[in-house]
Amino acid sequence: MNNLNSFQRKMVYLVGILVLMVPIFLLGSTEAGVGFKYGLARLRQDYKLGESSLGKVDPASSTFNVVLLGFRGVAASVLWQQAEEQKATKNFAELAQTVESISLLQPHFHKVWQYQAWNLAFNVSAECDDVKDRFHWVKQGAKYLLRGIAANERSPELQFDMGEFVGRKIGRSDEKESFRKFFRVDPREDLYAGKADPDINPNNEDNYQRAKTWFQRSNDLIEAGEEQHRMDTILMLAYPYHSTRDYAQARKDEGLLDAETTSAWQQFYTEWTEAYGKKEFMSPGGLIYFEAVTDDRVRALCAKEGDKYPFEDKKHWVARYQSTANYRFWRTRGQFEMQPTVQEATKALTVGRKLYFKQELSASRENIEKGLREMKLAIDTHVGLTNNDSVLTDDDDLAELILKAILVYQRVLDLQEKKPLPDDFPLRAEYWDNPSWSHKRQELEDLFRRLSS
Amino acid sequence: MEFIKDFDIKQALLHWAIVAAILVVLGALLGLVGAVTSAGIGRGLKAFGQMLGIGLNEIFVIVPRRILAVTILTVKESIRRKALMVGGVFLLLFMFAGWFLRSSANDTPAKPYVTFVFTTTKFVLFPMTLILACWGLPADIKDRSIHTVVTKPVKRSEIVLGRMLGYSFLVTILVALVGGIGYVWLVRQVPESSKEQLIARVPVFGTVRYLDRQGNPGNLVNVGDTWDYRSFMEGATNARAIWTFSGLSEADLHDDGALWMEQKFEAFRTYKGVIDEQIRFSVEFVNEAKKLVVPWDVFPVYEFSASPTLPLMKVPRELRYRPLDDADGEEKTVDLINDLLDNGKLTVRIGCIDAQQYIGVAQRDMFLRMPDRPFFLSYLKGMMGLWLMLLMIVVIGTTGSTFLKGPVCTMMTLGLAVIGVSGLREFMTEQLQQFTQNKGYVVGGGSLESLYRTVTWMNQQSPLPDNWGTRMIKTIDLGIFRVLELLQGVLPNLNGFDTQAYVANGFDVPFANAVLPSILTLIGYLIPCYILGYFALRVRELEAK
Repeated sequence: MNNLNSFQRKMVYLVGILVLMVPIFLLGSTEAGVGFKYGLARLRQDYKLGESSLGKVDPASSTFNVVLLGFRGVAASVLWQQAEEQKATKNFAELAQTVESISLLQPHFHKVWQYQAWNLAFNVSAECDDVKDRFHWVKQGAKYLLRGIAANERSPELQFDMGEFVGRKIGRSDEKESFRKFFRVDPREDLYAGKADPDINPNNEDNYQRAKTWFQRSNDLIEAGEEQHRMDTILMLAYPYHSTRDYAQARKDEGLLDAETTSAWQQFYTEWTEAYGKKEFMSPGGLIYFEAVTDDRVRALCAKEGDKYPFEDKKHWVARYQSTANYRFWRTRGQFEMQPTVQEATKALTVGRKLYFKQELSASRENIEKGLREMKLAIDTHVGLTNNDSVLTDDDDLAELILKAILVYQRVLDLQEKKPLPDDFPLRAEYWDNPSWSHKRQELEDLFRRLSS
Repeated sequence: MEFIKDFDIKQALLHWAIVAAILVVLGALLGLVGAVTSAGIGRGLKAFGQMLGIGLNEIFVIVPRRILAVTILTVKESIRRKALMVGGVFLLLFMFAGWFLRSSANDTPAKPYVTFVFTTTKFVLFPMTLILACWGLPADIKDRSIHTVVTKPVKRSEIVLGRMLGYSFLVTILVALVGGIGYVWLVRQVPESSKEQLIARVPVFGTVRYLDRQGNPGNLVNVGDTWDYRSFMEGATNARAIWTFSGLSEADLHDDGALWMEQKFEAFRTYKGVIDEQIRFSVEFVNEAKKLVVPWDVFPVYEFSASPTLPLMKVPRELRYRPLDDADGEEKTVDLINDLLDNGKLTVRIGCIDAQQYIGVAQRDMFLRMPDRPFFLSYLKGMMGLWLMLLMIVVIGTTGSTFLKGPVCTMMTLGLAVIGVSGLREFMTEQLQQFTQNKGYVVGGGSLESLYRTVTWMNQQSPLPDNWGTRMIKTIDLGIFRVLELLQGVLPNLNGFDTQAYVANGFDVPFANAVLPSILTLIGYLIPCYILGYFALRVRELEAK
């Protein structure tokens, strides 16, 4: 075939290898000035396609994928089936391990993390009867998602999901009372010694405060240019501020009506109007921001863009975006709730209701009278100052607070003096006799009847 | 506790005897036909008789010393081929086990750790055993090193047995090695808070019957759960689950003088109820002979709890109670052993007490808990199951290698193992049960009919159109089912050897229901495989490569 001997052939192979290594080296280099402009490694880095640019690289995951050769898909499918089988047969301890294995195979597939984390935190948790077990599985889901975030640091959606877990699952589920408590004082006394589980609550914060951190991280990524496909971006960006409001509202619902709660409402109002309200968005009518609530501000926006868009167009788009985010309602709500008088009135009404159930009727009546008087004053002042009566017409929580107080007051009056509610009773006309709230009133009357019987 | 299965030894032995007899007759017929067709009737019959005589002699008259020599040779040969290196691979896996058990946290239950040890052992040792058993003899034949053995005064049957024993010895060493490493790793790695789960409970199960919501004997309800393992009783109705435990005496009481009962019921809520309180059930003891009903206590459901103490109910020897029909009456006292046992039988009645809520129960959900055994023993028995499974691979692989080449034998053994482990065999059994019970009808049909339905998007219930094509499909399917019926008795069910679920769930591996069936199954395959291996090696042309 040829005249080369064995040694010569080997030398030829060696030279061939070295020659072929030159383009590999050049294509693979990411160093400026060394690599070609369009070198593969360079492109991978620029488009953030490399594994290390997506998040933490897991050695086990890489090992798994190399060992499985081309069978990763098959293995993942088998594991998904196993996970479903284990869920159906309520073999939850092994399910937790199976979902870990799935994520080892598909560490950068966001849906795996999202689906299985929700599976653990929502589906498995709901199967348990003991509220401590339910919390355990919510935590398992959250911890799983945390690992997903570590492997996909640039995904705003996973960070957002974490905010949802910590905020909504802990704070709004049927078990919220226990869950919110457990979030700060874990029920596993033997493991956490009366403190929070540091994996999900490292700073021992309220769940909504922790959720806010995650939503904020998600926002930072979106604002840095990362894509999200979860919802309209203007809505997604509002979540950190809603978390502040949720925190204030949760404290109010739990009867913690102190300076911290007032401060939380004030913080919400400031964040809503200063941070969220001043974010600029590009609409079909050009640049807009939510806090453009006056014509002057809208005109200033038009001028900023060299009157490229007509005033009426701009105003229309500002209003439309505000309506999408329900901006004005939450603005008014924050403005109203942050008044110390509102907190005082709420406190008096809450105390009055509690006193009724303790059969301290006179004290209950006194507190409710005081609370309703102060609340009426606060509402009137607010409406007068803002020329906006949406707290009276749209605020469901406020209506419920007032209607409940009137219900209790009416009952106390009946028990003590056999008298009906006076016509000029504070807020009677605005709520009790207002047909817009009659459905709510009926619902609360039924509930009160059941509770009193 | 659906993993706990009963084993009927008499039925198993009878089944084996029937299958073995059929195989012997079939084998003999095959040999006879072969001999007659190749050498004519007269000479064929003579040759067959001679072969049978020699065969029987060589099979039954064996010399242990010669078998030992072949065994030692096999072991030396395998060590030379670095078969024991697999131990190092295993050690390496355990050093990095944390990578693969990423949810390892201080609150992880012990179960995943136990499962990890058993699964890893299985996956590491299985391929090694497969290659060892399937390639040894063919490699010897190929290298012609087999001549150094067959030219010695050693029978072919002794070669087959020696090979099997040699590989079994190696497998035993490896299982002991990796099992030991696994145990040390397990004890060290399981979080402190979950260590109490490394136990070996000894359950005594009873029989169960149900009363419907009116209190009549019948069934409980299905609450829509896709897993129909449990049935559910409605709270604050007359629905009850009644367990009867037999053969009890004073000796079954624990050192604390109490009888230990454990439950694993499941709760199902139809409304939210009191969210931070579990659904509860009442426990009553009944002695029907003495017309005695003793309401004892109320307990919460601890479903899915890995704790071995929470779901425990300790019944004291002396029980104080007020009769159900006289709740304000005088308190009475009964003795658990003297008053509540009826000829050693204890009847326990369970009812859900929360109105409109449900409790799910299954027969194995309540059991009497006898004194625990050491976890190590349970682990050892679990490993023994794995060891027996690997010996089974050795037996099948070695037998296959007497008449097949290495790669083909590996494929055959692997195929049998996959069928045995993956659930395909159970699927086959289910299909055949349907086939027998429904007189030839199987939902969706056989393999060809299923394929026809799949490609024509036809559901399983719709009748097939009547034409020659579908009639042919049905005929072929019928033939396939007949073949499967025969194969069913021969294909090994390797899942039966897998007892890790007992160990992982904190139960002692029962000898009678788990270890004994594995030993019998192995022996059941060893005997025909040994005979088949002997005849195959005897008629094999050892010069062929």
